[in-house]
Amino acid sequence: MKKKMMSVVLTGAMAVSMLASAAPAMAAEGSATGDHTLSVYAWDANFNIPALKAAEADYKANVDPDFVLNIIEQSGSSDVENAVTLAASAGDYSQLPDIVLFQDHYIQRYVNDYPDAWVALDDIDIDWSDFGEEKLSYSTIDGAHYGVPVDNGTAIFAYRVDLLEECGYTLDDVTGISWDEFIEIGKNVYEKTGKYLLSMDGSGNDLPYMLLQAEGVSQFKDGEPYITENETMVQIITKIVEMIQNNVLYLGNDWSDYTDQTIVGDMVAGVMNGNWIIPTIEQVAENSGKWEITTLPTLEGGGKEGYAANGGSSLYITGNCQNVDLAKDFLAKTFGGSTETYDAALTDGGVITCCVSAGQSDVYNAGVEYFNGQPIYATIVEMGSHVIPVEQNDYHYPCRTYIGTAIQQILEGADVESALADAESQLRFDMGL
Amino acid sequence: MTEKRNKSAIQRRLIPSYIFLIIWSLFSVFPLYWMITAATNDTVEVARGKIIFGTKAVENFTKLIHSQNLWGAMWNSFLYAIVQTVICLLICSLAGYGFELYHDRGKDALFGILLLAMMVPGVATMIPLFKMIAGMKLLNSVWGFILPAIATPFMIMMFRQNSRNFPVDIMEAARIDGLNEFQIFFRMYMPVMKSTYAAAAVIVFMNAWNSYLWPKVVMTDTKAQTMPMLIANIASGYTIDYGMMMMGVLFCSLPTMIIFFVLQKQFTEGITGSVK
Repeated sequence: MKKKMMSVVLTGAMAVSMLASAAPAMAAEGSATGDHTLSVYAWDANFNIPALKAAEADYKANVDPDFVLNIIEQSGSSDVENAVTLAASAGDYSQLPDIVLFQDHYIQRYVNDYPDAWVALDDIDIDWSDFGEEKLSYSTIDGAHYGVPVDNGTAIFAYRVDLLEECGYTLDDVTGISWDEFIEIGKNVYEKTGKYLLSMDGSGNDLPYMLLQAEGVSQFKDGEPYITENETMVQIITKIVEMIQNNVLYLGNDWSDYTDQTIVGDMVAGVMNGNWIIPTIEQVAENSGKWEITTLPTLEGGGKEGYAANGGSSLYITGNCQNVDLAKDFLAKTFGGSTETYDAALTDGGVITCCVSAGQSDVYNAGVEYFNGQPIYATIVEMGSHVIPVEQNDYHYPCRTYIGTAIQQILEGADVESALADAESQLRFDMGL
Repeated sequence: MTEKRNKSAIQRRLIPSYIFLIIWSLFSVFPLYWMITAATNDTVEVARGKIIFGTKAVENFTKLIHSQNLWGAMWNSFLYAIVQTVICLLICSLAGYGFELYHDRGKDALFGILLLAMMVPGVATMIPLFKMIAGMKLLNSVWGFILPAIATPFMIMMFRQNSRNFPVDIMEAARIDGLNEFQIFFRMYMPVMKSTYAAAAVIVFMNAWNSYLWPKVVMTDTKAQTMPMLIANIASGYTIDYGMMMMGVLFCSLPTMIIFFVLQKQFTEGITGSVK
């Protein structure tokens, strides 16, 4: 009987170990020296990942036929940030891949907090002057380059030209105007079509940041919050509140409300955000040919066009990379300026470059049917070169939250000064000032 | 006659309860219904709130299998969940059996310490556990997934509580018949505690199947990812394909739903601690 029982237990154990050994037992650690493989963390199967696949194909075809890029898909940019934090907290970077795609607004904080987790790219063969200055300002820390830009966060203002026409306006009438003029046009559009001229996510309100950047002003000055004493900020917040009160701007409750209800749900005649919002606009097939893009209004107007950027990411070599030369060569010969990589990244994933020379290809200059035949990609790259770099800070997102809350408080009756003073004091507290 | 009247009076009194329960069931079932209908619509239809069945099911399914490694993630999830369920049930039932039927002061004190371990939040042990698993080179393997959940205080407690209903007399009878202690466990205890095992299996399987944070930490390779990780990947990005995502969610929910429905009767018996 004992033997029988033992055999049952042993068979069970064997079955379990067989199943276990069938499990994939690969690791994400960096590649070994002399290898032709690099691993990379990235997110978004419809955006960044096709761009990386395009770069892999380019490098394989033109440089190293044995090259393999092992793309490890993450569920979002925060996964990559958590992986770096976890590795740093455990004091063990060996589990990080060779390269990570990292969100621009966070990288400075991570390079400062975990300097060992990154490799500076000083001797990389890239002509940095070919890239938008604003984009590079994120990945340049104390004068050293750490990242190679992938996408372009340049903000666009897309308008439904058919609706504008219905109200007696053309795209030229909304280009280079002031926010006051914009509000007047918005009121007319709402009255005649029932649609808002602009919408935004109320819980992650990017408008103050973009509007400020279009004026060349930051929410931070010398590393400290620059809110109550920032005259431009006060004016911008006042304009945003005025837009909401006059049905020109609709604030969604959250991101899903913003994209699904206001944009896909056809509630708006205008969309302003980083150009990555384009695929969301394009989801509504019946509106093809009715949209066109232009620049942002400014406080001053009178022909002055506003340029801003929002979001975006770059590729960074990690401290765990065992083959830094290969990683640098791969980045330099692909995202460093290769037309082949950037053309395929645009066609397959809708990723727009911020490399000025790559943005002049035929693919970039082709008219886009959805946007009434406008060559929007070349336009966006050109617009990106005008974005003024403004002071960045690790506390970008907390600042966005507090200012968003201040806007809600003002709408509920608080006065602008005290609401902004609250936001500033909370932010200062967070920053330990 | 009076009995009939009493019966109808009781039924009348129950009407409000039934109405309440019907409304409550609608609330519970509606998200599942929505999930199924959304899997048959495209993203614009879902975003615009369409809640009736559409015609895009095949399209959503095709997009899902082309853009994501659905079968690989399903296989991984099944593998990890089944291995974890089998081993966890064996270890926890042995422990619960031991704590209850061979108990003495020392074991009771040890059990108290085990219960205290339940109070430690999982995130507090995350980094040390990651270091241990990485040190043992078990990242991206089934063992890396299951080791931290192989014996949980809650499961041991559940088996211990339910073992109180185990008829101790048959142990004596079995000993007289010449069975040793392990044989008593495997041949007497296990069949008698069937419903507890069923309830525990449902709980452990569901926890393993739905677990997200720990696999996210230890399964660093795409090929080792589980269904919840795959769903999270679809749900990220600037543009979300809701139709495809809900098709993925449907695939992710089916196994747990089937297991729960199949073992529903034993589950309720096991939770209430009944022994046949």
